[in-house]
Amino acid sequence: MLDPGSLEAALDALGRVLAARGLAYELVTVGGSSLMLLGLLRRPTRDLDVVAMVESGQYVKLRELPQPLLEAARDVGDALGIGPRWLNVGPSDLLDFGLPEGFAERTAVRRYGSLTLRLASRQDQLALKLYAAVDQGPQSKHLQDLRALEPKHEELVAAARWAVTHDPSAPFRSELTAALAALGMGDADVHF
Amino acid sequence: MPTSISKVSLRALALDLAWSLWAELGVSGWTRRHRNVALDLEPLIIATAYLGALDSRLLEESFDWCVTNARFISAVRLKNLLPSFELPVKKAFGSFAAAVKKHRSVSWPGDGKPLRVLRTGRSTIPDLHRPALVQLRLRAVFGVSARAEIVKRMLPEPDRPFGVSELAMYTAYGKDNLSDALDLLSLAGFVSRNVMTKAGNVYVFQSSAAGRLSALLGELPARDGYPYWAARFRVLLALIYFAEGASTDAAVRAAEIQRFTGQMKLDLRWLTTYPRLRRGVDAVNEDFDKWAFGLLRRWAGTTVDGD
Repeated sequence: MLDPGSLEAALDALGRVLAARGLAYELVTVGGSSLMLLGLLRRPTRDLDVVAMVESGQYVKLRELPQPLLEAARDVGDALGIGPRWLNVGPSDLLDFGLPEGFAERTAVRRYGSLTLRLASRQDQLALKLYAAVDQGPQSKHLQDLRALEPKHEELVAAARWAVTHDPSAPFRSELTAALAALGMGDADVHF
Repeated sequence: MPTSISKVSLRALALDLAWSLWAELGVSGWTRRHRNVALDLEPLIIATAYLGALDSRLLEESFDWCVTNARFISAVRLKNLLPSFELPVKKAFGSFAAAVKKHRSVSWPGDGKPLRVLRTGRSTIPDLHRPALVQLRLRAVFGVSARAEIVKRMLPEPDRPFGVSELAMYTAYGKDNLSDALDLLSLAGFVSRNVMTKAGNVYVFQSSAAGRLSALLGELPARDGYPYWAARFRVLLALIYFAEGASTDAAVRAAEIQRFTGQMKLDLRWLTTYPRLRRGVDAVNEDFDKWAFGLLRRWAGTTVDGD
């Protein structure tokens, strides 16, 4: 499992290994580990989710990590004892449905040698987490993460408005309302 | 900072090993530490062509030996083994081979500008009665051929059946060549053939004349004295490249160690050695260095009891 210290150490090592191998990558990341890197979450995570790669300023969807990056991450993971799969492709289908507007401008940039990460902002992570929490149910880690993030009312409203653009169906709205209620937003359905 | 493998120490161990093996072949002036270990000529020549850049005397003496004793050397095995080595080794061997070809009409593989090396004139015909030179003794009997290599591989394990793929790997002969040689040895009663599948199309082969052959061949190395030298030299040279190019950044080096062990795992598996690496950057570096030194010292024969 990754904690803030081991994740930073792994990224630092990966950036240096990539530089030593003459490689460079710019990745867009989401999920619990990204929140941890932003200092917004402290629970241990299994891996860092990559949602896209940036090439010539454009987000490119990934089905899997490029082989040289995969190998470098595996070598670092084995050396540090965090396992070979600590860097993974996350929900890259998000790119097909569309990320929240202004997502790219809001990302936080972190540089580790030859590795650049664009971390999804708190606002966008809330939207993605809310969608995932509805999708995966009330027992999922996503709802727990949302609680830990203590979102404000207007943040949840914005997140909910984006979530329904992905799935405008009645059942989804119903479950979304329930999820928001579980987060303490009793009047959720009047906002979207 | 990592406890980095000393380039100098690794090179010294590699040269110690090469010198000891060449001393078994009759090259003078060095300690013989492999008296009871069957050597394998072609991987030694390939590795020496590279290591010779670190020791001009080794290069000159081995070159002189090859020119003097070219009839003992298998061009086919050189050809089959060379692709399994890294590019710098292939290049070094190409120059070495080109220099030998200036003196002897041999069909060695490899292209290159002939190495500027002079004949020392000190080489003689090797003493084939030495246990370490069982390969050359077998070549004197069976010819420089797949048959000699098959017999050499089967000698220490007369009770074990061998498949053609395994024999091809150890002997560095192609499967067609080997099948033909196994057929001839079978007809002569030196090898028995057993069917492994119901379809009857997969065979294993076993020595059926080990006792008679041993009596005929004279003093031989012990059963555990037949190492897989091609794999040993690939690992040894890879360790030298690693040490030469290793990062001074401990974390990067630890990751490169993981890559190294992954790339060499096939050879390491056949050599039944693998570094046991604890977790963490410093631990990985420390464990790897300890393993690498121990391995090379063992292969070079410089390990003493209690090491």
